[in-house]
Amino acid sequence: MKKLAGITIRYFIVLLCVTVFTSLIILLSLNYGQGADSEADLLTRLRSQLLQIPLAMIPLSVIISCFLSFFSASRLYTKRFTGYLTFTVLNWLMLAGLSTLIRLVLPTFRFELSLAGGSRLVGLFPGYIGYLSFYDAVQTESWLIMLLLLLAPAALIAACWPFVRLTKNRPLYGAFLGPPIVFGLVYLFSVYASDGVELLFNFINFIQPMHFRLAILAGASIPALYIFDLVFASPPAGIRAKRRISNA
Amino acid sequence: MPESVVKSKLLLISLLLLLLAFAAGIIQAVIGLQTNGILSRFAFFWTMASGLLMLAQLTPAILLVAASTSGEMADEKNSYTVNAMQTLLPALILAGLVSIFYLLLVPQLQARRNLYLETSKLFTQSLQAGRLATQEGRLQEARQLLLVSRAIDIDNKDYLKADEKLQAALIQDAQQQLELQQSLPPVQVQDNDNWESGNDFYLQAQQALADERYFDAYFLARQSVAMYPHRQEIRNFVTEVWNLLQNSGPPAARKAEAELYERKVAAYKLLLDRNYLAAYRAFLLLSAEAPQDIDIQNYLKRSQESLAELYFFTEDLERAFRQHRPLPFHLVVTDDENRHELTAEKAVATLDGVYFQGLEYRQSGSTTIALSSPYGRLAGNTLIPRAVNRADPGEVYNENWQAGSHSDMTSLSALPFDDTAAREVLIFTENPRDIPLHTLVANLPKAEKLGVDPVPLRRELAARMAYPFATIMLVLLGTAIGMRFRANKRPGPLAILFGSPVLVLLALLPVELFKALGLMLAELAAQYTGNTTFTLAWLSILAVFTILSLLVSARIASYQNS
Repeated sequence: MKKLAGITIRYFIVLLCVTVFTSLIILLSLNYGQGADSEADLLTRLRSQLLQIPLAMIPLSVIISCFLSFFSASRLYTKRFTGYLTFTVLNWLMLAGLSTLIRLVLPTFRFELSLAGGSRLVGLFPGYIGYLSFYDAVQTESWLIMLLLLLAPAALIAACWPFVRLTKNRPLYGAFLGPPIVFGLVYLFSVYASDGVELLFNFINFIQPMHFRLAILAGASIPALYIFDLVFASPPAGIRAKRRISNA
Repeated sequence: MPESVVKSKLLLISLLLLLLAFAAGIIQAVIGLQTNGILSRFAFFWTMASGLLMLAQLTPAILLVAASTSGEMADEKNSYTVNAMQTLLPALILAGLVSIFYLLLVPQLQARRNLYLETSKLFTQSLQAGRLATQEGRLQEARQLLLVSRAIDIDNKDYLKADEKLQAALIQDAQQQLELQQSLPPVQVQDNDNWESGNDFYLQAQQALADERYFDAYFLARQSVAMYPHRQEIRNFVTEVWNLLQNSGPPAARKAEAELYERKVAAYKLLLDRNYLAAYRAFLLLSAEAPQDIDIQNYLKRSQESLAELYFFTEDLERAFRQHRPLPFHLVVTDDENRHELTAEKAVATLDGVYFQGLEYRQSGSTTIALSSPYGRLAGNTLIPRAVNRADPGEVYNENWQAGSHSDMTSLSALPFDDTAAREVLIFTENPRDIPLHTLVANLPKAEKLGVDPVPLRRELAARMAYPFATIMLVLLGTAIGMRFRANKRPGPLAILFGSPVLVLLALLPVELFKALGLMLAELAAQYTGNTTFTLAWLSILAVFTILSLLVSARIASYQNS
């Protein structure tokens, strides 16, 4: 329980820091006061973007904070299953919480539009806007379906844990592999949401809307990553620590 | 060498990885020699420069990996503070070296490499066009094109082959011309010496007649008859010239002299009336007719000097645009009474002023001036928006004054900015990366006054100021990451040799992300601060981030696997 609390607290602190930092950079780079807006218009724009941009950055922050928490989990947990469960639940709670908030408080909010002005920060993550369209699309579904659909990306993010535990002899590889996998995962989500995948689905005569396609493909990727973990990755370090203690 | 430098493996591993990066760069450059069409005489420097530029590109990632590996190999018993302290001195040495490398060497290398690439391309293009022109029989054009290639690389084998073909084609062409001439009916030549001498006199007499020198013509014709009296046509010629001599009025030469004198006076009057363009045109025509006339040459020069107050020559502009790289131009200066805005599609700075193409000048405030002109020149604080072709003064480019605008040329002769300010604007219009550090630092305060957006310049300065700080941050973070993810067994030399390049490749993406974030922060600092506060603000940001990275590193290192 103590380990779970530690990881959860760290997860949320990192999430908060990443969301605040990225949102601040985007907000500051929007050149307020340099356009032809009146003061009242400017204040309205600023007020709406103060809420919209942090919300739009949360899906990215979830991926980054989950990856940064993987290292703690590798050190603390002894079982793979516990780690997967913890991160899937934490990710799902954040994504579901975000979608619930939007559905209840901001029914007209659109993720894509909130970042339509573009930002160089978002540009560093190719495909992020495409990934965000998934969160716009799930808003059209019923509560139950929406929560179920959100489970797929939450679990896929969590399933990337083996990448940071890839080598037993030199854990440094895992540390350096983490950041490229974050970029890769965002890109993968955008590929799952793309028109190319739609053509593929149409080809096999399995016509589904974009958010369902993404959820299906994300769901299908999870078992593959679990198998990858069992075959290639070293078990969480907690196991080794336990053994060492028992050996001692 | 201090003990900390010896204990820390940072310098050693960094050196090893830097060497590997240099070697990779050289291999890549050698492979790219053919595809980039680099000339063999530039090949060595191109390869070396490419190797060093690859090194520059990979250096941040190398530093991170070297520091991580060094941290990984550090003594397990030591705390992060001890390891960081051991790494600090080598890190500072590296920070100094890296900063010097990036600030002084990299821009020069980049510029030279681009120059060699462009020159090689020009050589190849000229050579190919020259070969084609030779094949199609455009021999003069081919010669001109091959001259360009010759100027770049005289010993190049491809050039020598192409030149050989051109010379062969030229010889063949000359032979054809000769054969053509020989195929014409031969001129009948008299063997008789007297005939030849007589004929010479006859020809000279004809020339004299054409020049209206009747006395000479008659004398020479008589000489010809005396030498060879058997030619009837010469005897007739003598009679004809004698008749002309008797019946003609004053000599035509004198008439022409009088006419020339009248025209000289008219041109002189134009000069006195300050109609410099018309005077220059008149003297130029007279100069072509009487190039020996000292008066004409003297006043042609004077009219040209006077004309330079109102016009400049398009020839100077064309030369300036050929010799320098034209850049878009925009200058804004505000004095007590007016706002002056000078824009141009293209501009180049030369020793005798700044030349513009597609010029627009606007002055608003107490006096309104708005004009546009195809060409212009700013010398001192005088703007000349008129140009004339030196060889053909009929080709004139005048300014267009906009309706309602004060239209007086004298108003352009005491502007509140001069060509020095225009040169500074042109320096700022360059890609900020190409501006030398000392120029950037010295001229940055003037940028805003000249209407140049200072944000990109400050961002560039910020990037250059960040090199030593970034090096220290990378080393601190790398050491901590290495300690945090320490292996159970120390990695051997082979693991380091083969594993580190993989780590460098993996580190490239996050390093790029941090670099982009740093540049965004620099842009924000540049945007929200003034000239005086910018340097201080940016140095404070760098210091804060260095301290933050130290704290984060200490935190990371505290979770050691062991």
